[in-house]
Amino acid sequence: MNILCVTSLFVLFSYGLGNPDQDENQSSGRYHIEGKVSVPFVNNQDWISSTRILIDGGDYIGFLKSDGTFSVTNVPSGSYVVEVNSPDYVFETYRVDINSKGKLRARRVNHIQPSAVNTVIYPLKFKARAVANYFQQREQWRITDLLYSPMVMMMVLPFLMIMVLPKLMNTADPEAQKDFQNQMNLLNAKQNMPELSELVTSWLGGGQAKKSSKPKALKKR
Amino acid sequence: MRNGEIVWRQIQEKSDSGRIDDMILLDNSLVAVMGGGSYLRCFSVTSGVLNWEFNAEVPDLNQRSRIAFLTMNEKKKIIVMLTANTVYGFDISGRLQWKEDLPNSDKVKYGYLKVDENAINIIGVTMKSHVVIITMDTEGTMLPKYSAPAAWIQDGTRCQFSGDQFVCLDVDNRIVHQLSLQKPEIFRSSLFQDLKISCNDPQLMNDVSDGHQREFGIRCLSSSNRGDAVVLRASEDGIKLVKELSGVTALQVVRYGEQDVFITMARSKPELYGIIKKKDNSPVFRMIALSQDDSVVLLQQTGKLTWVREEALSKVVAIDMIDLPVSPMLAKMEDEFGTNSNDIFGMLINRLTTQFVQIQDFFFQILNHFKSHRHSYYDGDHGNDYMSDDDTDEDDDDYLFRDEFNIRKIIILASEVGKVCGLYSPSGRILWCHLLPDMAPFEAAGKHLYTISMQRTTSHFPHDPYCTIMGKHKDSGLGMMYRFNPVSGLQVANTPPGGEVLNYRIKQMIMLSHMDDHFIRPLVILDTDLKFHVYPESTTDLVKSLADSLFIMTTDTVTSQLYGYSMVYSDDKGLTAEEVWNLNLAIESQRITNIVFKQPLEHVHSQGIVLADRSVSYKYLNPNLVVITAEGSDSSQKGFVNVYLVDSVSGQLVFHCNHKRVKGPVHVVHSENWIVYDYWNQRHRRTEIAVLELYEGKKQNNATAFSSLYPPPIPLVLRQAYIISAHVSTMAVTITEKGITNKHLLLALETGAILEMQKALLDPRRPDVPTQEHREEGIIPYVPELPRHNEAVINYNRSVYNVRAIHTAPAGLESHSIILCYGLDIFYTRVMPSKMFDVLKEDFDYFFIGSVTLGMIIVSLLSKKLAARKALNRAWK
Repeated sequence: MNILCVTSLFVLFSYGLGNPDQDENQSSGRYHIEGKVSVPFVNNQDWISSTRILIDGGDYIGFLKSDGTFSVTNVPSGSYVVEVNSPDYVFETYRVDINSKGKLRARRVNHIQPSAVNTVIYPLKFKARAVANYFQQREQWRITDLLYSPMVMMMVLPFLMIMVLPKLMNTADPEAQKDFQNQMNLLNAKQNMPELSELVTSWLGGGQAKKSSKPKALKKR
Repeated sequence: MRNGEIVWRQIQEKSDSGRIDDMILLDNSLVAVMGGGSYLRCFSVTSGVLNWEFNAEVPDLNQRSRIAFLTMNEKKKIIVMLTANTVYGFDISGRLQWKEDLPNSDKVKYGYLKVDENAINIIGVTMKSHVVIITMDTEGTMLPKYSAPAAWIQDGTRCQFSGDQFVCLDVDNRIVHQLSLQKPEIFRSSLFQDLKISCNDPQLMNDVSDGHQREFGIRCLSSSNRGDAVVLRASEDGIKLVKELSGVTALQVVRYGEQDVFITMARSKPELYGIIKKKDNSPVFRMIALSQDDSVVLLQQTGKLTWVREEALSKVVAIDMIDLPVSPMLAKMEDEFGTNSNDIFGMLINRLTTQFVQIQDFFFQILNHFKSHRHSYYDGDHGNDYMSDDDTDEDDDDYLFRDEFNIRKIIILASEVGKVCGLYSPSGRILWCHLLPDMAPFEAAGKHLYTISMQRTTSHFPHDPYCTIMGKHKDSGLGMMYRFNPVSGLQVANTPPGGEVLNYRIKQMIMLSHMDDHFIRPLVILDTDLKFHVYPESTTDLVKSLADSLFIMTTDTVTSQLYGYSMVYSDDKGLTAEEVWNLNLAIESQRITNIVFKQPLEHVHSQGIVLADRSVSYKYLNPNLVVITAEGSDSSQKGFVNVYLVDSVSGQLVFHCNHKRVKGPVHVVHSENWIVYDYWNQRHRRTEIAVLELYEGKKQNNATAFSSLYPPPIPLVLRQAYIISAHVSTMAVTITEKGITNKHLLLALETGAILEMQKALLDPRRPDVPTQEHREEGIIPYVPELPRHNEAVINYNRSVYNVRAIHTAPAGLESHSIILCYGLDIFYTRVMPSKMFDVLKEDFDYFFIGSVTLGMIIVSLLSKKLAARKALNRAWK
């Protein structure tokens, strides 16, 4: 693992993106990290004063200029995590490696496999991905929630089967109806006339079941 | 300016390179130099946007740098920056115009800069030998330098420019030295006697000055502690006395037009020490004063106060939250149970009267309710004024009592300068403030702290609550204590207002949880001579009776040694400490950074966890367990962190682990049977959070009480580490009344967010491959990276920076935990770790549930009727 990490770094340093501007400060061993921050979906500039660039969590700080560019100065060679600190927008984080010759290279942060390299162009371009959302959507009571809940479905479907299906059958084409009736007659000659009282109880029973499902749904909220 | 609110703020680096040395205001930009010149930044005044930045190479970050600006003509202005070894010249857009190295910068400390219309004067000092004067023209070319012998000049000598003279005050010999910038060959000295000044402890008073004024002030302390000041004028002929003022504590000389005007501050409070003047075009003055108690005041010329900002609250070092006292009515009711009278009739009458008062109060409340409604109706257009001042004024007389769920608290803050304040938690309003001018905080492991001990809580009615704050004396280092009532802020009888100075140095102190007859918890203090002192002294007998079971631990962070002491009582020596054990942690140049005990208020609800096979794994709940972390770096400059768990009574090392190639700062949370800490992994460049959980095993050693003297076998330690993609500045854990609610961790991040994270995510038993048992127990499968959702940020977009610590306190409701973050800002909120399981939601639909129940009742009645009719019909068939 260690060897692999070292070799991959070595390979990458050898083709690291050089920026001629960086060489001016090379003699002192201190370098700049440059880039630009943009929020595409906002027109005003209010976010600039509340946005900072943090390197390794605030060891070095960069401030934005009015056009959104930044330059973090006075950074010695090494590997740094560069993030944009803004309370209102979400940005991606990049990792910047500066080798001892002052070559800079930026890549995506991958905490789980730090040796995996996915280079991005330097100078860094931070683009706001989204507005930071701090609030969860409040759960609202909607009639569809109630209807689609499995308990209600279990109640309503059999109810429909009992009540609606026979009626649908009746309105279907008369021949099929006759056939069906014949079949029914053959199957149970006695039960072709449902008792009125039974119908009422089944209806009432169904009605009650529907009512009682409401508090259950309520509890689930 | 009008109301003292912050328009914008840019937070600089935390380290030395972020310390602001000097600032100037130039047209529409603010130029600030930081860290001895390592950064020079120019911000736009109106928006706070950076205009330009420059950084210089600085050998010594601690030497203060200076800047000044030079107006050559209307178009051209030059900003001159002086660092320890170089002078820089910039134009207004930040381009470097010229740069000049200063000679002999390793010996000479260049610290004074004055800019005239056509010359730049720089003065450097070599201690106890001479001063060097360098003059440059505006193009940065150096003119010949001079040096003047000054054998008296020392590290603490304060000097300043005064017109074309350079003036130094020699405090010990009471001499004013002056050096002419025109002929800088030799200092001219004037004795105080010659100037006819008698003065003790003189101080130069112009802190903020650009050196163009010819007058300067010297402050003297007279015996009555009221400052006197003298104004002197330095010119070619020597120093002349201009005016003598008495009762003045601050002085600022400003140049107005052609003449010099001096503004003086005479106040009864001897606090004000520096004044920045802000002048309009007309000779009406507005003053901004920064006082010794860290408050910023804006004054009008008439002496009217425009606003005050308590900047002390950004330097809070100690905090406590206390419950508000119960209202007198409730107290009277509780009083009934407290009294020991056997008189039945008396008790009955008492009961009846209190209930009558209750009814009366209820009606008054209803009446008030109606009244306040009308009131708010008329006040409608007055509108949302500022913060919530309105609702606190409304019920001014009864807001200082406990609410139903004990959510409102009083927050006691102690700031670094020794200011103690009480804040009312719902609005953050300052109830009272008290300055202890001589108090200074203790220093431990690089942190400053006071101790606030709540010796009597508010729940013992006729007795007033009281609190003790301890620190050390600013000069002598002796212990200091100040006792006060946390609700009213008044000091307890026979406590001097400045705090009581003890005649020993405090080594360690502890508040016992036992109470005496007056419900006072004794404060036991160990001094550096290993003798115990008990406060208040009336509780000494109680402490004596407990002496056998009292142990105390001290840590020497310099030598990395831990010592355990037991308390011994003998008639001739009194209470003394006897060393029981010591533990040496001094290996490989590591130093102790954290010593974390459990929170004393914490309740542990369950003794163990039930595993999937229905057996119980008992928690190792040692109340004396202390977590010690030590950081250091090895021979190849790679950092390491050691974590030790030590039983503080017996000195038993329970557990130890070591992390290689990591560095601090380490933050530790210690609660129940687990420990969570974070560190920065240098190799992989990420923050990692590790968790340790301690279990006794399937058998519990002693179910009733934990004893460190007969400890259970070494506990099983489960551990795991996770990655978090953020930099943690501090951590804390929620605490609730009974400990039933799930625990959540609160992580303050460097980005200004406070992240709430379930403890279940930091369970060391999270498996790589989950099995049926794990699912049954509800353990989340292992994922290396912890989630960092914005929904879990409890402060939303109100970022709080440089958080020093988070204080958590329980509320009366089990589901609530109250948290207060303090650092540069103070942020107070309450969190519900397991949602609000004991409170109905605010949008709870009473109408809906009522109508459903009613409907059900009607339907059941109806169906009963129908069923009866049907039965009747059937019977008739």
